[in-house]
Amino acid sequence: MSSRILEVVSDGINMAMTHCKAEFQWNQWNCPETSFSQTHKQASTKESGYTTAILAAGIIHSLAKTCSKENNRICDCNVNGLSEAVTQEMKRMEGIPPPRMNGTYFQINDNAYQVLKSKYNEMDKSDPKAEVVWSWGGCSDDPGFAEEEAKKLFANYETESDVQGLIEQHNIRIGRQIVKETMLRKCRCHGVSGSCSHQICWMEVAPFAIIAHALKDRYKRAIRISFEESRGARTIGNSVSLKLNPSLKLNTIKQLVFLDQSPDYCIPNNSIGWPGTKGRICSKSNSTIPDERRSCRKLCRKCGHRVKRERKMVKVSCNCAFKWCCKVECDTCYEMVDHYTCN
Amino acid sequence: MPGTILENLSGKKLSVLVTVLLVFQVACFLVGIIPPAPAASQGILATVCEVSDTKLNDDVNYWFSRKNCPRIITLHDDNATAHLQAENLVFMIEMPLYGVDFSRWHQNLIGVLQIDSVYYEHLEELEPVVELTIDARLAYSDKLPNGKKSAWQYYAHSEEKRYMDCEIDKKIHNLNGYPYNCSLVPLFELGCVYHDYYLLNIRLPYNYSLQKNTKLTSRVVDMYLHFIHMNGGFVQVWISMKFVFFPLIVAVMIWFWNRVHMLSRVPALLEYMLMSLGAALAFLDLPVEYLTLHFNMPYMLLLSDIRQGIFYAMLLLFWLVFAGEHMLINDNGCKNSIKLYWKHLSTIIFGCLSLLIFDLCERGVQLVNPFYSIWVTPVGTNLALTFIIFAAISACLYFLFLCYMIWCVFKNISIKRSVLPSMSQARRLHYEGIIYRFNFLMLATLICAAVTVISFILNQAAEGQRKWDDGTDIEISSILHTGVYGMWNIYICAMLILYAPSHKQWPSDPVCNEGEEVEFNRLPVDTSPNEISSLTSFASKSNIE
Repeated sequence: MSSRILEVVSDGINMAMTHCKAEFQWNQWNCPETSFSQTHKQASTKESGYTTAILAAGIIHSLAKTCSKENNRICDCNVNGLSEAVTQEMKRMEGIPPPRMNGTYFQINDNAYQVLKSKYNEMDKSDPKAEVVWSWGGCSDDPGFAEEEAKKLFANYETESDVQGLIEQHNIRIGRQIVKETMLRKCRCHGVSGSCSHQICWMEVAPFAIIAHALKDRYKRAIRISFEESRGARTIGNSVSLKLNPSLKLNTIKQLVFLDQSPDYCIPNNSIGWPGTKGRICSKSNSTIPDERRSCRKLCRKCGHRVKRERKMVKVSCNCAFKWCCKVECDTCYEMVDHYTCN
Repeated sequence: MPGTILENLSGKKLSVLVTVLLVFQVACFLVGIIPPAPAASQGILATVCEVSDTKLNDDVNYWFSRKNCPRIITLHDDNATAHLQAENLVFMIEMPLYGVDFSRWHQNLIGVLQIDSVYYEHLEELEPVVELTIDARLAYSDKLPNGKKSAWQYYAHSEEKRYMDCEIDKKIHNLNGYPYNCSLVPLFELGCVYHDYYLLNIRLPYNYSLQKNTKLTSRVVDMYLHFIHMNGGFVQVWISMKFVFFPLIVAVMIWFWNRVHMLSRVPALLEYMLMSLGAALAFLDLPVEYLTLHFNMPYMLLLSDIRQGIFYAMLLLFWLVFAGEHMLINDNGCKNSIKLYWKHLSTIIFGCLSLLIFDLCERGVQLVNPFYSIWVTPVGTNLALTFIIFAAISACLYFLFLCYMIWCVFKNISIKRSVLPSMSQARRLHYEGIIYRFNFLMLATLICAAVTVISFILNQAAEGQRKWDDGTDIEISSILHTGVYGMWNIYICAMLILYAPSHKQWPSDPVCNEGEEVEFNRLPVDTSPNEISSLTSFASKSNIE
C-alpha cells in the first residue's frame, strides 16, 4: 500500500508530462521527456520554467484528487487541506537538504514525502479534533491542499543567493497557484422542495487540461530576470531593465520567470538532449489552434528546413462512437492524407 | 370604547415595547454570528472498482467498498480499461471523507452526482441532453464502541433515470481531451442522518435494446458525488432559538386568550385568526428536530415543509382577514364569519394544497425511495409543473385580492380622513384609532416583508460573490437566517400583544364626551353584540354616514 502514494505523485508527474506535450505539440520546443530529466538539467530558461511549474501543478492536482477520493490522512477536515501533522513535520524538516525524486530533476522534499506516505496509510483512524470541527461547521470546500503548506513539499532549500533556486521556487509557486486560480465554482440549490431559497457553492479543482493551458499563457508572458547583487539592488530585465528595491520580492510577479535566454531550438543540442526540429511533423490543416496553423512556418522554414510533403493513402478509424463503458467502435476508412515534415 | 391595546397604549409605553422588541430583533441577528454557514458540502471522487464476477451485481446485499474491492482501476487510462464492459464497473463512494463520521446534528443529506466526460475529436459529440440510467444502492454502517465500523447494511436501492445537460465550449483551441461542461445530476435526499457512515455503489448499466446509457457517447473519466448537509453548529443554534421562542409564543397565546375570555362576549374572527396564527407559529417553533438526535425520523424534511406551509398559509389568511375586517364597507352584516372570505380563502387553500400534493409526490415518495425524483419522467415533470403553476396562479389571485382590499381600505381611510375634522371628538378619536391600527400593521408588515426580501437577495448575492479563500469567519447567511426567523416570531408576538383586547376601558368606560358615548354604546349593540373592537362600529358607521 505504501507504494500507492508514490503512484499518486507519479500520476501527477505523468499527467504533467502528457499535458505539456499536448500544449507544445506545434511549438519549436515540444516538451520532450528529456526536459523533465535530471541528467539533462538545463539552464533556467522559459521552457524549464514551464516544466517546473506544470510538475508542481500536476503533483498538487493529483494530491488534491486523492484527498477527495479516499479516507486517508493526507488531508484534514480542520485545516484547509494538508493535515496538520504533515505540515508540522514538513516544518521540522526544513533545512535538511532533500534527496531528489527519481526520474525527474524536480525536487520533492523526501522527508515530507515519507510523512505523506505514513499519513496516507493511516486510514480509518478517527481524529477527535477533526470530529468536532466537522460536526460543527463541516469541512472546508477547499479540495485538499493549502497554499503555504503544500509548498513545503516542493521546497528547494538552496539559499536565497542561489538565483536559479530562487527562480525555480517562484515557478513552483506559480504552478501551485495556477491550480488554485483555475478552480471552478459550482453551486447547487437546496431549498424547500428543491427551490433556490438556499444555495450552496463549492470550489473544485479544474481538469488538468485547463491548468496546462492557463500555464501556457503565463509561459508566453514569462519575464526574464537578471539579478545584480551590486548595490544590494536586484534588477529585473525583460526588454527594459527595471530596478527593483530589495523589499520587492519575486512573489509579486504573476508570470513565470527565467534567467537565461532559450537556446535556438532549431539546432540539436546534445548537452540538453535536444534533437532539433529536423524531422518534426508540422501541419497545414485549417485548425483552430493558431500554433498548429503556423507550425510549418515556425518549425521548418524559420529553422531553414524545407517542408516535405508526403501524400499517402492511410487507413484511419472514422465515425467513431464510444460505447459505455470502455469501447470505441469505429469504421475503417481510407483517406488521402498529406504529411508534412521538416526536412 | 372597546379597543385593542395598540390604540389605547400611551406613546411612551408603546415606544418602550417597540424598543424591547427591537432589542430582541437585534439579538436574533447577533445570535447568527455564532454558528457557521447553515449548510456545507463535500465532494467525493468515486473510486472505480473492477468486478469480474458480474453475478455479484444481482446481490443487493453485497457491498463494494475500498476494503473488499478486487481491483481498483482508473478510467483515465484508455488501454487498461478497453477490455471492460459496463457491468464490470462499480463506482464506490464512502461518505464522509477525512476519517470522520456523520453526526445526527447534520439533519439531512442531499447527494448530487457530477459525471466528468471528456471530448475527443474523433468521437461523436455528446448530445445536449444525455439520458442516464443509474443503478444506485445505498448502505449504512455505524461506529461500534471499539471505534470500528459495523458491516454495511442495506438502506435503499433503485434504478433511476436522470437527465444531464452537457455542452462544450467550441471557442477553446485544442479541444481534444477537454472536459464537457455537464450539469449536476440530483441523486438522493435523506431526511435524517441517523447513521454514521454511508456507502454508495453506483453502476451505469448498458443495454442497447432497453436504451440504457446508450446516449453516453463520450468517455467518462471521473464521477464525483457532492453531498450537502446542514451544519451541526447552525442546527444547534437554530434549535436553541426554537427552545426560546416556543415557550414565549405559547405564553403570549395563553395571555391573549385569557384577555379575550375576560370579555363577556364570543371572540371575534380577528381574534380567532390571531390565535390560529400563533398556533401555526408555535407548531413551526416546536423543536421536534431535537428528537432526530435520538430517533430515526426520515420524514423530517416533509414535516418541516408542511410546518412552513401551514405557517405561511395562516400568515396570508391573517393579512386577508385583517384587511377585510377593516374594509368598512359591509352590507350583509355577517362580517364575523370566515365564510365571508371563501373566495380569498379558496385561493390560499388551493395554492397550498397544490404545493402539498407536489411535496407529497416528491418528498413523500422519497421516504420509500430516497433516489426518487419527480422531475425525471415527462409525466412527473408535467404533474409537478401543473401543481406549481396552480400554486402560482393561486398566489397571484391572492395578491390581487389582497391588494384590492388594501386599496379599498386606504380609499375608505382617505374618505374618512377628509371628514374627520367635521366629526365630534370621540368619533374622530375612534376613527383615528382604527386608521392608526391599520397603518401600524401595514407598516410593520411591509418592513418585515422588505427585510425578508432584502435578506433573500443579500443571501444570494453573498453566495454569488463569496471568495473561497475569504478569511472571514462570520457567515452572512446564518445571520440573515436567524435574523429573519426571529423577525417573524417577533412580528407575530407583537401582533398578539398589540391587538389583544384592551382592558383599560372595558370595566369602566372612559371619560368621554357624553353625547358621543351614547352613540358609541348604542351602535355595537345594534349591529352585533359580540364585537371586539371598534371594527364593526366603524363599519356600521360608515354605512350610516
